[in-house]
Amino acid sequence: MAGRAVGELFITVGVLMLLFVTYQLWYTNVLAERTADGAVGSLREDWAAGAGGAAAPKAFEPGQGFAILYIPKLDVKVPVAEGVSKTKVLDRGLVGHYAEGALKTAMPGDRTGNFAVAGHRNTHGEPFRFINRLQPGDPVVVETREAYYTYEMTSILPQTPPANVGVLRPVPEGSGFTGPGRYLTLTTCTPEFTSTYRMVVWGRMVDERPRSKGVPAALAG
Amino acid sequence: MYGWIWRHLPGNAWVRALISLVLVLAVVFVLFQYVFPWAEPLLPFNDVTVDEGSGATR
Repeated sequence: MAGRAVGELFITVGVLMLLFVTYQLWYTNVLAERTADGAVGSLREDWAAGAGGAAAPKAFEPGQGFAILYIPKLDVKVPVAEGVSKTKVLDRGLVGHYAEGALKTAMPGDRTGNFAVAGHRNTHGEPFRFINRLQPGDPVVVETREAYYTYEMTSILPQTPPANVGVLRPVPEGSGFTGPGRYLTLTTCTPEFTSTYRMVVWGRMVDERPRSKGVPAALAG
Repeated sequence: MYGWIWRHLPGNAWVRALISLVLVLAVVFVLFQYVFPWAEPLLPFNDVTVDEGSGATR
């Protein structure tokens, strides 16, 4: 009888693992798509309602969405929220802005600095799954309440240890940028389905366009 | 364990099979809705941020 119980235990553990993989690879994407779509919609509503009204808040709450990130080449449209908390931001299908403590980075509207964000490579909507396919010159657009900020991809660091926080500096280490400027940093994990290393993609701002002037060329058509 | 559950379900074989199916679906629902979302951030998968010590978001 004891042998039977052990067998059932093993089978149960195996089924549990399969279910967890199913959850990760399929269900989290379903959920993330739903929350991301909802967040994009409510951001647009807020912006439309607030247009011409009260000034935007100076700081955003952790977990609060404040921008939409577009990567036209990869067909990515994903909301950006404040902070890189797994439970509050990343695992809800959003992209997280490094905004807290020692890892605080600039906002797109700042005069100089590095707007750094993290996103999932796999699961939870996997917004950054294919950022390794970006080529220098490919546009990345960040839409906020005030403006559209267009960045141009400049360089990629295919693999770096997770402790390499230099990639988030105002002038990111390893990016090839030499002086202060308005930069964009995307971080995700690599190789796919693991957490061993990080992949980093950088861009430089090439255009800032107030909302009143309409969408930038990179998003039109 | 599964044999014990089967023996304690009421009704004939068909009714038992139906109840078993409902039980399985209920367990899967609870796992997907509550258990996995809770367990996931505790596991060292899918860390996408750079951070000092790299322990902060795990």
